[in-house]
Amino acid sequence: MSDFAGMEELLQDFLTEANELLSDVDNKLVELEKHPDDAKLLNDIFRGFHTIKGGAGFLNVEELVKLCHLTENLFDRLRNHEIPLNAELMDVILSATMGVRDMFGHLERRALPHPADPALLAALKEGVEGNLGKAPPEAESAPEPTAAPAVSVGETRIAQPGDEPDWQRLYDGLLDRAPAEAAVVAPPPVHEVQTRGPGRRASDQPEGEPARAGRRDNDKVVVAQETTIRIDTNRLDQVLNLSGEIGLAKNRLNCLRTDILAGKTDGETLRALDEAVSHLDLLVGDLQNAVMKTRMQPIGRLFQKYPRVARDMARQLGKNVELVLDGEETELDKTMIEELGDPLIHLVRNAVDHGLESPEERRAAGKPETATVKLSAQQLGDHIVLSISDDGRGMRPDVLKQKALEKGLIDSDTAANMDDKHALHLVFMPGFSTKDQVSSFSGRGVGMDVVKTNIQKLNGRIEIKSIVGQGTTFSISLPLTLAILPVLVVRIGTQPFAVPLSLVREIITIRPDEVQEVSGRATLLVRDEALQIRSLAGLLGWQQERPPAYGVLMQTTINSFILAVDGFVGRDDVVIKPLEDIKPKGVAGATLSGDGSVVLVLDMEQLLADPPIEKRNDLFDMAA
Amino acid sequence: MSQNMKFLVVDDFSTMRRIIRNLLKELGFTNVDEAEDGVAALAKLKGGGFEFVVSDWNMPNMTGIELLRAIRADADLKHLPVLMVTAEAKKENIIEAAQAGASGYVVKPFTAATLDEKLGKILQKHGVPQ
Repeated sequence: MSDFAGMEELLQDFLTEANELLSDVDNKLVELEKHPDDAKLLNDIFRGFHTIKGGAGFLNVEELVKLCHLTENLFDRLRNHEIPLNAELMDVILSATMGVRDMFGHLERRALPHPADPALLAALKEGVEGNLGKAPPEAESAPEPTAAPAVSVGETRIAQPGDEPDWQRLYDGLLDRAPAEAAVVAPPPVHEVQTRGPGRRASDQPEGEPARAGRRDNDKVVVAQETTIRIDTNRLDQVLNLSGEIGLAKNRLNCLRTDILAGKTDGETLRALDEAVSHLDLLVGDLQNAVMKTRMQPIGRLFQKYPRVARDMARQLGKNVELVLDGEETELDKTMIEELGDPLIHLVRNAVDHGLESPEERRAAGKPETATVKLSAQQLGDHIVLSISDDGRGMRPDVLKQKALEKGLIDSDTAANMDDKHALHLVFMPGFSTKDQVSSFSGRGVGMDVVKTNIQKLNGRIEIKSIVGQGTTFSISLPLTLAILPVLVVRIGTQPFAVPLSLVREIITIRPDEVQEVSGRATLLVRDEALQIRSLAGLLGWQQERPPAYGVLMQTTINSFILAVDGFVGRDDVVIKPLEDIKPKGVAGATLSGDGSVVLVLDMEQLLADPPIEKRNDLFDMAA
Repeated sequence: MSQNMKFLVVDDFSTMRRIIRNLLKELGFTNVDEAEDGVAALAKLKGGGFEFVVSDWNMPNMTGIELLRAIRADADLKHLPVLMVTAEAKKENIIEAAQAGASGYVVKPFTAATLDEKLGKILQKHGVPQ
């Protein structure tokens, strides 16, 4: 049973908002290390803890109130320049934010958090007293809770309503009130808030209540967080307006249908029909965009976490790093932001751990000791490009090849023929790790292969650019949304297939006499680039019935090649429906075309997993 | 007191605005608008129509106490009742609020009953019939 029965929605709101606040605080703490006297930063951090405390008070999460309260007091003294900020104090503060995050974790599971670590609370109290960082070492190493007696600041300001009768009287005196009123202080809020909860919200959102009750009964409250989203009301209004207009357009079409069914097919009626359909077309497109926009969230929410990650890790590795964020306002589909969390964290860790040199190495190389890792996002056309660049040692293709050889991931033939670009991509192979000893950071759990797989699941691409001695950049290119996929529809015979447009570079005509055979494979020279031809029919395991007439120049993360097809239908924006029971190899799902026929949407990655070798003759010399 | 009285709830933490809005609703006040800081609040108040302000203290851009002073300095707004809501249960804060002309002061967390009582006193003082 949840500890928060009846306060489900409130708790959810609190967690969403407080998590953002805490991430913001985390970032500001990283900033604070650089500018320890920045009054605005100190004030903002103070307010962060203060606000979280205020919300926690209403939810009766006493342990969280206590922890935030102490931390807030510390910042109150810091911002008033009553105590100096030193490294030890900073560590205590960072542990306190971790403690707060930990408690959020409990709350997310609908459980009341345990009391914070007594050592942490004691250290905070010491900090408030200004004793941290100058006390004798033996006192620091074992901070006893009892070592901080008479914590004046902490005790006098605990925000218990019962603690304030004196002030109340004083205040009433100032307002010329009868002192008798001073006796009335707020009763402890605990029971009242809980018992009132459901009634209050029932009137708030009538249809929400049964669903919530059901969820509680099943004790499946944890999923709740992923299913809520904060939307700018302007965007919702846009959706509402458009659906209203679509309703009007539908009415217009209804009228025209009645007219046409009654035999009225003069030029004017048909023109009106044409206009109404075009108008509807426009509105539906707008509505799709507007709905998509409701799911868009600024990527800054995700980026916020990383300065702290980079800082903590650099500190433990003895490196100096500054994480620079750019384009935080860039918006991306909510699902994608969630899915990107792990891959990005891995790339940031990877950059700090493997990409960056130690301060000594950097000095020797004539670089500034503090390394820079830049995390940026920008929208390019209908794609979002995220990049993680470091100014570290760069990646050496020959070393990567050697490693892959040693680990038996590739054979020497492949290594010899492999160009630098492909060599860099070796890091995405399962089982590849450039450091002989897996470090406690980058090597934890997931590898770069998982990063790549996750990005590909989002229909994204990941590229590496690296210059030895200057640094490495990982760029991730993602479609704006997963809901609508722009595709190129191609044909084999009469069967249409959809290919993700993001992979299509260009369309070419295949002339059989220009097709050559290179190392036993059908190849075509396109602007001096030798590209292998792979027929879609062959990839699907179909019989090639006639020589393919057209080629689609495809660019995947691994390579470029020409997908040979019989013809084109055109480009389209489709919504993919997954195939539940049958899963043919290389098919991601199905969609309906404008004329109502079923189009299979291809999963190129899967399709290319085990391609047959096609000689020139297989494709162009049919036994005709 | 009139259940139609129009409130402005000022707080930078939307969860807190919602809590206060819910408490007010529980007391029968449903005509509630929100602002996320003093600047936004002042802009809304200048638009007119508000009869009661419930404001947080600690906010970015313009704090609650600055908002209170601005309200008291504005000929059109100075008669508005302003209830300060805060977790700052510090003596000097209460004095500061009283001196700036706060109509009341309530410390977080509080219950609907506490709020009701504070509102009642303030409205009585401001001469609004109960």
